[in-house]
Amino acid sequence: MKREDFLARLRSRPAGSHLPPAQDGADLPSAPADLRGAFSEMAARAGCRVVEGEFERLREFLRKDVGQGVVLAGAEDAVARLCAGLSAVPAQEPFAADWGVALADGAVARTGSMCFVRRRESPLTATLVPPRIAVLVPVSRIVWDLGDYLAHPPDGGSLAVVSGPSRSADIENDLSIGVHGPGDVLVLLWDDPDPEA
Amino acid sequence: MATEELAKNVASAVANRGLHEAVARSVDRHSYAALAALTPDLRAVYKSRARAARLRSVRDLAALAEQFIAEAERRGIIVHTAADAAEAVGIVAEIAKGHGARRIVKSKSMATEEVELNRHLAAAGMQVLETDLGEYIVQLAGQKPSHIVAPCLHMTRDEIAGLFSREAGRQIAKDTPSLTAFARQRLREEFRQADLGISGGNFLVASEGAVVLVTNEGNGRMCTTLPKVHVALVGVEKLVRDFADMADALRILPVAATGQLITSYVSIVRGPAQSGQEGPQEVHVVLMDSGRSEILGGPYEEVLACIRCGACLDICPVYRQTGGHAYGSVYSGPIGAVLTPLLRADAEAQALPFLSSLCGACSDVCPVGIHLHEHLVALRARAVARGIAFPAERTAFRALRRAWTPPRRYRLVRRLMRGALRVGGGVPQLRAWTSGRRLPAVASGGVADLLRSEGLIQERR
Repeated sequence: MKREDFLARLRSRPAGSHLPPAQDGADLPSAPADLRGAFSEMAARAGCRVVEGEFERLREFLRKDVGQGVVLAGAEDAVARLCAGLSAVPAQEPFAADWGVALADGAVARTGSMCFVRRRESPLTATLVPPRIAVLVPVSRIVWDLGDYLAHPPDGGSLAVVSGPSRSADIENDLSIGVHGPGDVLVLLWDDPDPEA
Repeated sequence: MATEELAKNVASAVANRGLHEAVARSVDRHSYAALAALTPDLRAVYKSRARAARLRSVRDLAALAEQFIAEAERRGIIVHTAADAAEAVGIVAEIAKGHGARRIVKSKSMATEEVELNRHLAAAGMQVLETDLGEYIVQLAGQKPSHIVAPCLHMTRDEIAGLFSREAGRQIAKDTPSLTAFARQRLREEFRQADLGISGGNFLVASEGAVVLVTNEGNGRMCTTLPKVHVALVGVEKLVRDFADMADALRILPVAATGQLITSYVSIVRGPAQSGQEGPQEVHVVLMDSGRSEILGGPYEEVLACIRCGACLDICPVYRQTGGHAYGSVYSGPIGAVLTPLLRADAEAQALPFLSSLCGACSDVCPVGIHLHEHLVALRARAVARGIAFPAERTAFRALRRAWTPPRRYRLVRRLMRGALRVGGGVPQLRAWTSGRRLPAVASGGVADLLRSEGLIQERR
């Protein structure tokens, strides 16, 4: 159907004539003060492993966890420093990686979610294809609700919001982790230097 | 006759005890998790915001469609408009042919089920592989999904292990990790080699030209990230104004569906990859009407606000006894009993509103406050006006009219019923129902006696 005809058909209908008068929804409760604590708790509840601290501590933790594994990593400075010394696979071969390492563009405390944006230096495959992923989450990037993060849509391409490991309950409602996406999500909660300071 | 076919399907589902157990296990889990996820106060807030956002979409649908097309194209998405199912299927087939697609992977989507996309593409020589675990199982079984959110909840692990073993050509153990590991390995290879990915969409964000997918397994992300071409087939009613309205609807969708505060993944597709980036080189959105515009502006337009969470299926006492297949429609449960007769003209679809006890639990649980039971009543009246009736029901009402219209015969019937219930211990035909319930005795004085004693009617001499 031609686009004009498609739109004309929608326009010709008395939309809303059988709906109650327009009304805004109720106000959302205000966000708690401790976003960091809330994020940490909710990410753990979503099934992530959460490690917190200074950059060097997180780097050491990751190094031990990854061991001899090979890593698919973003090209951001912080990620490059985090992965220094680890074996890497080229971005074109995500299926060869044991680990994906990425920098969160934003984090959502209410649901323990991490947000990623496709950019040249940030492939979305890094948080999708490898069976295990580690995500560097700068504390300064935590907001309360996904709506807060999207209030100023980030530059770049498509987005992925990740909240814990891949899960399915399709077989007799029995929870199964890592069916397609990563089964292990390590959150590295980084006390980054305050960007406002 | 179509209503007889429906009655037969229902009777066979009701007699299937294994099905009841499987359905109950799944829907109870969803319902209890959904209840536990939020405090009642917070639920009320989220619900009011989600409803406001969704009704806003219905009111502004034409303008939002126009805005979406402009914004999506600005971001490099190719937007198609389809009047009906045939057009939608044709557009997807053309895109696939144009790219010489041989391996097509697909994520779960009710819109593609509605238009029977897989069947049509197969007829055109293209095989589509379902990649959601439940959909993959249902596809291997040659069946259709029986629930909006949990497509194979009617199947046991023994059946699934049988299907996987046949597919693998070796025995696959029936524990969940073994079954999941087989599917993961099999489908990863397909993701790797697929040249076309097909998805639906939970929301279309007009202000951003974005397609939003809400998933748990990650196959939706795979289908929209790895193949060179991504096609999303989405009903036009999925439009929302902006990210704020999307966030309002998304806050309650996973809660209502599975009791999660959010799903493992929310994908927001904002166009093809730029050069040098991973991701699809081409993104198409097929915006489908297929009956939506006829609902818009009419007495049932509120149902266009539905976010396909499946909560009304989970709570419905009829769905619990029948499962999804008995409805003979892609959309089952209360929302299916409302939506199907609006999207399909056949007699069987028109009879679906009768698959309800009208208890109203669906309306209570609906996260966007759709008055499902009221629509069911109205659609029943519409069906009767169109001459749809179940033969047994028609006969019963005829008999009732004959028995009760003359006052003398009414009094006689009442007396006989009292006697029969006292002596016989119940009505044999109702024994299945009365085995767990007490049938109330017929009162000694009828309504007429009561009204007479109150002086509200005068005896005719």
